[in-house]
Amino acid sequence: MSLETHDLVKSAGSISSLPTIFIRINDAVNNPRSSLADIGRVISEDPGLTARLLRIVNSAFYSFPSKIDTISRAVTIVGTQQLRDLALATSVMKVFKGIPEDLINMEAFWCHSIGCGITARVLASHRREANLERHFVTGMLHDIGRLLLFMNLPKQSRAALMRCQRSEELLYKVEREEIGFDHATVGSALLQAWNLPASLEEVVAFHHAPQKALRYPIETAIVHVADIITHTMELGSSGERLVPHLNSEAWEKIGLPASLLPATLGQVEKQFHDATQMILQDNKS
Amino acid sequence: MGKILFEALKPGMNLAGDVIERSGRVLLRAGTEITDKHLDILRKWGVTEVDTVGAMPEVSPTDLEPADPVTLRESEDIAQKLFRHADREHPAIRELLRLCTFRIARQRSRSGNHVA
Repeated sequence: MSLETHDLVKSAGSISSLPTIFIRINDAVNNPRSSLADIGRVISEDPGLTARLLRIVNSAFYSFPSKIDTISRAVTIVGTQQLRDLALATSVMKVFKGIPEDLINMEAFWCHSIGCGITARVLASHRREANLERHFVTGMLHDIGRLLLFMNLPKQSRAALMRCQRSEELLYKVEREEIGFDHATVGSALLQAWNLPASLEEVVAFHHAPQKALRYPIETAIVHVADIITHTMELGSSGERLVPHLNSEAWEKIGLPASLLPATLGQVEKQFHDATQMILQDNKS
Repeated sequence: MGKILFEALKPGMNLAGDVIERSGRVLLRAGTEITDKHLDILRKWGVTEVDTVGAMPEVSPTDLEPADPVTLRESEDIAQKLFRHADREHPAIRELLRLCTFRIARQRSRSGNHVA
Protein backbone atom coordinates (compact mmCIF):
# COMPACT_ATOMS: atom_id res chain seq x y z
CA MET A 1 0.00 0.00 0.00
CA SER A 2 1.46 3.34 -1.02
CA LEU A 3 1.72 6.19 1.44
CA GLU A 4 -1.00 8.25 -0.23
CA THR A 5 -3.66 5.54 -0.13
CA HIS A 6 -2.72 4.78 3.45
CA ASP A 7 -3.24 8.42 4.43
CA LEU A 8 -6.46 8.55 2.51
CA VAL A 9 -7.87 5.61 4.45
CA LYS A 10 -6.55 6.94 7.76
CA SER A 11 -8.13 10.34 7.25
CA ALA A 12 -11.41 8.75 6.31
CA GLY A 13 -12.79 9.16 9.84
CA SER A 14 -16.03 7.27 10.42
CA ILE A 15 -15.52 4.87 7.54
CA SER A 16 -12.08 3.76 8.67
CA SER A 17 -13.84 1.14 10.76
CA LEU A 18 -16.68 -1.27 10.03
CA PRO A 19 -20.00 -1.32 11.91
CA THR A 20 -19.52 -2.91 15.35
CA ILE A 21 -22.20 -5.50 14.67
CA PHE A 22 -20.20 -6.91 11.75
CA ILE A 23 -16.99 -7.03 13.80
CA ARG A 24 -18.83 -8.98 16.50
CA ILE A 25 -20.29 -11.43 13.98
CA ASN A 26 -16.88 -11.89 12.39
CA ASP A 27 -15.28 -12.52 15.79
CA ALA A 28 -17.94 -15.07 16.64
CA VAL A 29 -17.51 -16.90 13.31
CA ASN A 30 -13.72 -16.95 13.67
CA ASN A 31 -13.79 -18.09 17.28
CA PRO A 32 -13.53 -21.90 17.36
CA ARG A 33 -15.21 -21.92 20.77
CA SER A 34 -18.42 -20.26 19.65
CA SER A 35 -21.39 -22.45 18.81
CA LEU A 36 -23.94 -21.96 16.03
CA ALA A 37 -26.34 -20.65 18.66
CA ASP A 38 -23.79 -18.04 19.79
CA ILE A 39 -23.41 -16.75 16.24
CA GLY A 40 -27.17 -16.66 15.78
CA ARG A 41 -27.52 -14.69 19.02
CA VAL A 42 -25.03 -12.02 17.91
CA ILE A 43 -26.83 -11.53 14.59
CA SER A 44 -30.23 -11.36 16.30
CA GLU A 45 -29.09 -8.36 18.35
CA ASP A 46 -29.46 -6.24 15.22
CA PRO A 47 -33.13 -6.38 14.16
CA GLY A 48 -32.51 -4.56 10.85
CA LEU A 49 -29.75 -6.94 9.85
CA THR A 50 -31.80 -9.93 10.99
CA ALA A 51 -34.74 -8.91 8.81
CA ARG A 52 -32.48 -8.28 5.82
CA LEU A 53 -30.70 -11.63 6.13
CA LEU A 54 -33.99 -13.50 6.45
CA ARG A 55 -35.31 -11.77 3.33
CA ILE A 56 -32.19 -12.81 1.42
CA VAL A 57 -32.19 -16.46 2.52
CA ASN A 58 -35.87 -16.73 1.61
CA SER A 59 -35.33 -15.23 -1.85
CA ALA A 60 -34.62 -16.68 -5.28
CA PHE A 61 -30.94 -16.64 -4.27
CA TYR A 62 -31.53 -19.94 -2.54
CA SER A 63 -35.03 -21.10 -3.41
CA PHE A 64 -35.20 -23.38 -0.39
CA PRO A 65 -38.36 -25.49 -0.42
CA SER A 66 -39.63 -24.18 2.92
CA LYS A 67 -39.57 -20.82 4.64
CA ILE A 68 -36.67 -20.00 6.97
CA ASP A 69 -38.14 -17.83 9.69
CA THR A 70 -35.42 -17.64 12.33
CA ILE A 71 -31.75 -16.72 12.27
CA SER A 72 -30.84 -19.91 14.10
CA ARG A 73 -32.35 -21.94 11.23
CA ALA A 74 -30.60 -19.72 8.68
CA VAL A 75 -27.27 -20.32 10.44
CA THR A 76 -27.80 -24.09 10.24
CA ILE A 77 -29.00 -24.21 6.65
CA VAL A 78 -26.99 -21.45 4.94
CA GLY A 79 -23.80 -21.74 7.01
CA THR A 80 -22.00 -19.37 9.34
CA GLN A 81 -19.35 -18.10 6.92
CA GLN A 82 -21.96 -17.55 4.25
CA LEU A 83 -24.18 -15.60 6.64
CA ARG A 84 -21.17 -13.58 7.80
CA ASP A 85 -20.40 -12.69 4.17
CA LEU A 86 -24.00 -11.64 3.53
CA ALA A 87 -23.92 -9.54 6.70
CA LEU A 88 -20.76 -7.83 5.46
CA ALA A 89 -22.17 -7.20 1.99
CA THR A 90 -25.25 -5.49 3.39
CA SER A 91 -23.74 -3.65 6.34
CA VAL A 92 -21.06 -1.73 4.39
CA MET A 93 -23.78 0.33 2.78
CA LYS A 94 -24.51 2.14 6.02
CA VAL A 95 -20.92 3.33 6.28
CA PHE A 96 -21.00 5.68 3.31
CA LYS A 97 -23.10 8.79 3.79
CA GLY A 98 -22.95 12.34 2.55
CA ILE A 99 -21.33 11.83 -0.83
CA PRO A 100 -22.16 14.74 -3.21
CA GLU A 101 -25.06 13.70 -5.44
CA ASP A 102 -23.44 15.21 -8.55
CA LEU A 103 -20.53 12.78 -8.23
CA ILE A 104 -22.53 9.61 -7.78
CA ASN A 105 -26.09 8.51 -7.22
CA MET A 106 -25.76 6.11 -4.28
CA GLU A 107 -28.66 3.93 -5.31
CA ALA A 108 -27.17 3.50 -8.80
CA PHE A 109 -23.81 2.73 -7.22
CA TRP A 110 -25.22 -0.05 -5.03
CA CYS A 111 -27.23 -1.39 -7.97
CA HIS A 112 -23.99 -1.78 -9.93
CA SER A 113 -22.37 -3.40 -6.89
CA ILE A 114 -25.26 -5.79 -6.24
CA GLY A 115 -25.40 -6.59 -9.99
CA CYS A 116 -21.73 -7.49 -9.99
CA GLY A 117 -22.15 -9.53 -6.80
CA ILE A 118 -25.03 -11.52 -8.28
CA THR A 119 -23.14 -12.08 -11.54
CA ALA A 120 -20.03 -13.27 -9.69
CA ARG A 121 -22.25 -15.62 -7.71
CA VAL A 122 -23.89 -17.02 -10.86
CA LEU A 123 -20.51 -17.53 -12.57
CA ALA A 124 -19.19 -19.28 -9.46
CA SER A 125 -22.25 -21.52 -9.34
CA HIS A 126 -21.58 -22.61 -12.93
CA ARG A 127 -18.08 -23.55 -11.80
CA ARG A 128 -19.65 -25.53 -8.92
CA GLU A 129 -17.77 -23.44 -6.36
CA ALA A 130 -18.49 -24.26 -2.72
CA ASN A 131 -19.06 -20.92 -0.98
CA LEU A 132 -21.04 -18.72 -3.36
CA GLU A 133 -21.46 -15.87 -0.87
CA ARG A 134 -17.72 -15.25 -0.90
CA HIS A 135 -18.10 -14.29 -4.56
CA PHE A 136 -21.20 -12.24 -3.93
CA VAL A 137 -19.39 -10.15 -1.34
CA THR A 138 -16.27 -9.54 -3.47
CA GLY A 139 -18.49 -8.50 -6.37
CA MET A 140 -20.45 -6.25 -4.04
CA LEU A 141 -17.28 -4.57 -2.72
CA HIS A 142 -15.18 -4.36 -5.90
CA ASP A 143 -15.70 -0.62 -6.53
CA ILE A 144 -15.87 0.49 -2.89
CA GLY A 145 -12.65 2.50 -3.27
CA ARG A 146 -14.52 4.87 -5.54
CA LEU A 147 -16.78 5.94 -2.67
CA LEU A 148 -13.72 6.80 -0.62
CA LEU A 149 -12.34 8.84 -3.53
CA PHE A 150 -15.65 10.67 -3.96
CA MET A 151 -15.82 11.43 -0.23
CA ASN A 152 -12.25 12.54 0.40
CA LEU A 153 -11.01 13.76 -2.97
CA PRO A 154 -14.18 15.22 -4.51
CA LYS A 155 -12.35 17.80 -6.62
CA GLN A 156 -10.00 15.35 -8.31
CA SER A 157 -12.81 12.80 -8.69
CA ARG A 158 -15.00 15.39 -10.40
CA ALA A 159 -12.13 16.28 -12.74
CA ALA A 160 -11.65 12.60 -13.62
CA LEU A 161 -15.36 12.07 -14.28
CA MET A 162 -15.60 15.16 -16.47
CA ARG A 163 -12.51 14.21 -18.44
CA CYS A 164 -14.03 10.78 -19.15
CA GLN A 165 -17.23 12.36 -20.35
CA ARG A 166 -15.29 14.38 -22.92
CA SER A 167 -12.64 11.89 -23.94
CA GLU A 168 -14.50 8.54 -23.65
CA GLU A 169 -11.53 7.09 -21.76
CA LEU A 170 -11.90 4.43 -19.07
CA LEU A 171 -12.34 5.99 -15.62
CA TYR A 172 -9.89 3.74 -13.76
CA LYS A 173 -7.11 4.74 -16.14
CA VAL A 174 -7.95 8.44 -15.82
CA GLU A 175 -8.01 8.11 -12.02
CA ARG A 176 -4.39 6.96 -12.13
CA GLU A 177 -3.42 10.12 -14.02
CA GLU A 178 -5.63 12.66 -12.24
CA ILE A 179 -5.32 11.27 -8.71
CA GLY A 180 -2.17 9.16 -8.81
CA PHE A 181 -3.83 5.81 -8.05
CA ASP A 182 -7.11 4.14 -8.94
CA HIS A 183 -10.21 3.08 -7.00
CA ALA A 184 -9.06 -0.55 -6.93
CA THR A 185 -5.92 0.32 -4.93
CA VAL A 186 -7.89 2.53 -2.55
CA GLY A 187 -10.57 -0.11 -2.12
CA SER A 188 -8.12 -2.82 -1.14
CA ALA A 189 -6.39 -0.45 1.30
CA LEU A 190 -9.76 0.19 2.93
CA LEU A 191 -10.51 -3.54 3.23
CA GLN A 192 -7.10 -4.00 4.81
CA ALA A 193 -7.84 -1.25 7.34
CA TRP A 194 -11.09 -3.07 8.08
CA ASN A 195 -9.12 -6.27 8.78
CA LEU A 196 -11.03 -8.25 6.18
CA PRO A 197 -9.57 -11.47 4.72
CA ALA A 198 -6.65 -11.14 2.29
CA SER A 199 -8.74 -12.84 -0.42
CA LEU A 200 -11.16 -9.89 -0.52
CA GLU A 201 -8.30 -7.44 -0.57
CA GLU A 202 -6.56 -9.11 -3.52
CA VAL A 203 -9.71 -9.48 -5.62
CA VAL A 204 -10.62 -5.82 -5.14
CA ALA A 205 -7.03 -4.65 -5.74
CA PHE A 206 -6.72 -6.47 -9.07
CA HIS A 207 -10.21 -6.56 -10.53
CA HIS A 208 -8.93 -4.44 -13.44
CA ALA A 209 -5.57 -6.29 -13.64
CA PRO A 210 -6.42 -9.94 -12.86
CA GLN A 211 -3.05 -11.18 -14.15
CA LYS A 212 -1.49 -9.66 -10.99
CA ALA A 213 -3.60 -11.73 -8.61
CA LEU A 214 -1.22 -14.49 -7.56
CA ARG A 215 -2.95 -15.93 -4.52
CA TYR A 216 -6.60 -15.78 -5.60
CA PRO A 217 -6.52 -15.82 -9.42
CA ILE A 218 -9.89 -17.56 -9.90
CA GLU A 219 -11.78 -15.32 -7.47
CA THR A 220 -10.25 -12.25 -9.10
CA ALA A 221 -11.02 -13.50 -12.63
CA ILE A 222 -14.64 -14.11 -11.63
CA VAL A 223 -15.15 -10.54 -10.38
CA HIS A 224 -13.24 -9.13 -13.37
CA VAL A 225 -15.63 -10.86 -15.78
CA ALA A 226 -18.68 -10.20 -13.58
CA ASP A 227 -17.92 -6.46 -13.70
CA ILE A 228 -17.82 -6.59 -17.52
CA ILE A 229 -21.12 -8.47 -17.66
CA THR A 230 -22.71 -5.96 -15.26
CA HIS A 231 -21.61 -3.17 -17.62
CA THR A 232 -23.00 -5.09 -20.59
CA MET A 233 -26.36 -5.26 -18.83
CA GLU A 234 -26.10 -1.60 -17.74
CA LEU A 235 -27.17 -2.42 -14.19
CA GLY A 236 -26.73 0.70 -12.06
CA SER A 237 -23.59 2.81 -12.34
CA SER A 238 -20.41 3.26 -10.36
CA GLY A 239 -19.23 6.28 -12.33
CA GLU A 240 -17.73 4.26 -15.18
CA ARG A 241 -19.83 4.54 -18.34
CA LEU A 242 -17.97 2.15 -20.65
CA VAL A 243 -17.35 -1.60 -20.66
CA PRO A 244 -13.88 -2.20 -19.15
CA HIS A 245 -11.16 -4.11 -20.98
CA LEU A 246 -11.46 -7.93 -20.80
CA ASN A 247 -8.30 -9.81 -19.86
CA SER A 248 -8.42 -12.94 -22.04
CA GLU A 249 -6.34 -15.01 -19.60
CA ALA A 250 -8.86 -14.28 -16.87
CA TRP A 251 -11.63 -15.48 -19.17
CA GLU A 252 -9.69 -18.69 -19.86
CA LYS A 253 -9.12 -19.22 -16.13
CA ILE A 254 -12.82 -19.25 -15.37
CA GLY A 255 -13.14 -22.02 -17.96
CA LEU A 256 -16.74 -21.40 -18.99
CA PRO A 257 -17.83 -21.39 -22.67
CA ALA A 258 -19.08 -18.17 -24.30
CA SER A 259 -22.28 -20.06 -25.11
CA LEU A 260 -23.10 -19.98 -21.40
CA LEU A 261 -23.37 -16.18 -21.44
CA PRO A 262 -27.02 -15.87 -22.59
CA ALA A 263 -28.13 -18.17 -19.75
CA THR A 264 -25.89 -16.34 -17.28
CA LEU A 265 -27.35 -12.95 -18.19
CA GLY A 266 -30.82 -14.46 -17.95
CA GLN A 267 -30.17 -15.74 -14.43
CA VAL A 268 -28.73 -12.40 -13.31
CA GLU A 269 -31.69 -10.56 -14.79
CA LYS A 270 -34.09 -12.79 -12.86
CA GLN A 271 -32.37 -12.20 -9.50
CA PHE A 272 -31.38 -8.57 -9.89
CA HIS A 273 -34.71 -6.87 -9.28
CA ASP A 274 -35.54 -8.88 -6.15
CA ALA A 275 -32.03 -8.60 -4.76
CA THR A 276 -31.82 -4.81 -5.10
CA GLN A 277 -35.29 -4.48 -3.58
CA MET A 278 -34.47 -6.56 -0.53
CA ILE A 279 -31.00 -5.14 0.04
CA LEU A 280 -31.77 -1.47 -0.58
CA GLN A 281 -35.20 -1.51 1.08
CA ASP A 282 -34.18 -0.38 4.57
CA ASN A 283 -31.22 1.67 3.41
CA LYS A 284 -33.25 4.47 1.91
CA SER A 285 -33.79 6.49 5.06
CA MET B 1 -19.54 -32.54 -37.23
CA GLY B 2 -19.60 -29.46 -35.05
CA LYS B 3 -20.49 -27.89 -31.75
CA ILE B 4 -24.08 -26.79 -31.52
CA LEU B 5 -25.97 -24.95 -28.84
CA PHE B 6 -28.28 -26.90 -26.58
CA GLU B 7 -31.33 -25.06 -27.96
CA ALA B 8 -30.59 -26.42 -31.43
CA LEU B 9 -30.23 -30.04 -30.27
CA LYS B 10 -33.10 -32.28 -31.41
CA PRO B 11 -34.09 -35.91 -30.75
CA GLY B 12 -32.53 -38.24 -33.30
CA MET B 13 -29.21 -36.36 -33.54
CA ASN B 14 -26.03 -38.27 -32.75
CA LEU B 15 -23.34 -37.15 -30.32
CA ALA B 16 -19.84 -36.90 -31.82
CA GLY B 17 -18.13 -36.51 -28.43
CA ASP B 18 -18.82 -37.24 -24.77
CA VAL B 19 -20.88 -34.64 -22.94
CA ILE B 20 -18.83 -33.82 -19.86
CA GLU B 21 -20.28 -31.72 -17.10
CA ARG B 22 -18.06 -28.99 -15.63
CA SER B 23 -17.24 -31.01 -12.53
CA GLY B 24 -15.82 -33.75 -14.81
CA ARG B 25 -18.76 -36.15 -14.71
CA VAL B 26 -19.60 -37.77 -18.06
CA LEU B 27 -23.31 -37.27 -18.70
CA LEU B 28 -23.63 -38.91 -22.12
CA ARG B 29 -21.21 -40.93 -24.25
CA ALA B 30 -20.21 -40.21 -27.85
CA GLY B 31 -22.44 -42.07 -30.31
CA THR B 32 -25.57 -41.66 -28.20
CA GLU B 33 -28.71 -40.97 -30.23
CA ILE B 34 -30.51 -38.12 -28.51
CA THR B 35 -33.97 -38.76 -27.07
CA ASP B 36 -36.33 -36.46 -25.15
CA LYS B 37 -35.08 -37.97 -21.92
CA HIS B 38 -31.49 -37.02 -22.79
CA LEU B 39 -32.60 -33.45 -23.54
CA ASP B 40 -34.16 -33.34 -20.10
CA ILE B 41 -30.94 -34.52 -18.46
CA LEU B 42 -28.80 -32.00 -20.33
CA ARG B 43 -31.21 -29.19 -19.46
CA LYS B 44 -31.12 -30.09 -15.76
CA TRP B 45 -27.34 -30.09 -15.73
CA GLY B 46 -27.18 -26.73 -17.46
CA VAL B 47 -25.31 -27.98 -20.54
CA THR B 48 -25.13 -25.19 -23.14
CA GLU B 49 -23.35 -26.83 -26.06
CA VAL B 50 -22.65 -30.33 -27.38
CA ASP B 51 -20.64 -31.93 -30.17
CA THR B 52 -22.87 -33.59 -32.76
CA VAL B 53 -22.41 -35.57 -35.95
CA GLY B 54 -23.29 -33.69 -39.10
CA ALA B 55 -24.71 -30.57 -37.50
CA MET B 56 -23.83 -27.04 -38.50
CA PRO B 57 -23.45 -24.41 -35.80
CA GLU B 58 -26.46 -22.13 -35.69
CA VAL B 59 -27.56 -19.04 -33.86
CA SER B 60 -29.39 -19.49 -30.63
CA PRO B 61 -33.15 -19.30 -31.25
CA THR B 62 -33.71 -17.68 -27.85
CA ASP B 63 -32.22 -14.48 -29.22
CA LEU B 64 -34.45 -14.13 -32.25
CA GLU B 65 -35.82 -10.68 -31.62
CA PRO B 66 -38.82 -9.06 -33.19
CA ALA B 67 -37.08 -5.66 -33.22
CA ASP B 68 -37.21 -3.82 -36.54
CA PRO B 69 -33.95 -3.36 -38.50
CA VAL B 70 -33.69 0.39 -37.78
CA THR B 71 -33.97 -0.07 -34.00
CA LEU B 72 -31.53 -2.94 -34.22
CA ARG B 73 -28.97 -0.87 -36.14
CA GLU B 74 -29.29 2.09 -33.75
CA SER B 75 -28.97 -0.25 -30.78
CA GLU B 76 -25.86 -1.79 -32.24
CA ASP B 77 -24.29 1.66 -32.61
CA ILE B 78 -24.92 2.38 -28.94
CA ALA B 79 -23.56 -1.02 -27.91
CA GLN B 80 -20.46 -0.55 -30.08
CA LYS B 81 -19.75 2.72 -28.26
CA LEU B 82 -20.10 1.07 -24.85
CA PHE B 83 -17.63 -1.61 -25.96
CA ARG B 84 -15.12 0.78 -27.55
CA HIS B 85 -12.35 -0.29 -25.16
CA ALA B 86 -13.09 -4.01 -25.30
CA ASP B 87 -11.38 -6.47 -27.65
CA ARG B 88 -14.26 -7.05 -30.05
CA GLU B 89 -12.52 -10.04 -31.65
CA HIS B 90 -12.70 -12.03 -28.41
CA PRO B 91 -15.48 -14.66 -28.54
CA ALA B 92 -16.85 -13.71 -25.11
CA ILE B 93 -16.89 -10.01 -25.93
CA ARG B 94 -18.52 -10.74 -29.31
CA GLU B 95 -21.27 -12.65 -27.52
CA LEU B 96 -21.71 -9.92 -24.87
CA LEU B 97 -21.84 -7.21 -27.54
CA ARG B 98 -24.58 -9.16 -29.32
CA LEU B 99 -26.56 -9.64 -26.10
CA CYS B 100 -26.09 -5.98 -25.21
CA THR B 101 -27.44 -4.92 -28.62
CA PHE B 102 -30.55 -7.08 -28.12
CA ARG B 103 -31.10 -5.70 -24.62
CA ILE B 104 -30.96 -2.12 -25.85
CA ALA B 105 -33.23 -2.93 -28.80
CA ARG B 106 -35.74 -4.60 -26.50
CA GLN B 107 -35.77 -1.61 -24.14
CA ARG B 108 -36.15 0.83 -27.02
CA SER B 109 -38.99 -1.00 -28.71
CA ARG B 110 -40.71 -1.39 -25.36
CA SER B 111 -40.49 2.31 -24.49
CA GLY B 112 -41.46 3.10 -28.11
CA ASN B 113 -44.68 1.11 -27.63
CA HIS B 114 -45.53 3.10 -24.52
CA VAL B 115 -45.31 6.35 -26.45
CA ALA B 116 -47.50 5.07 -29.30
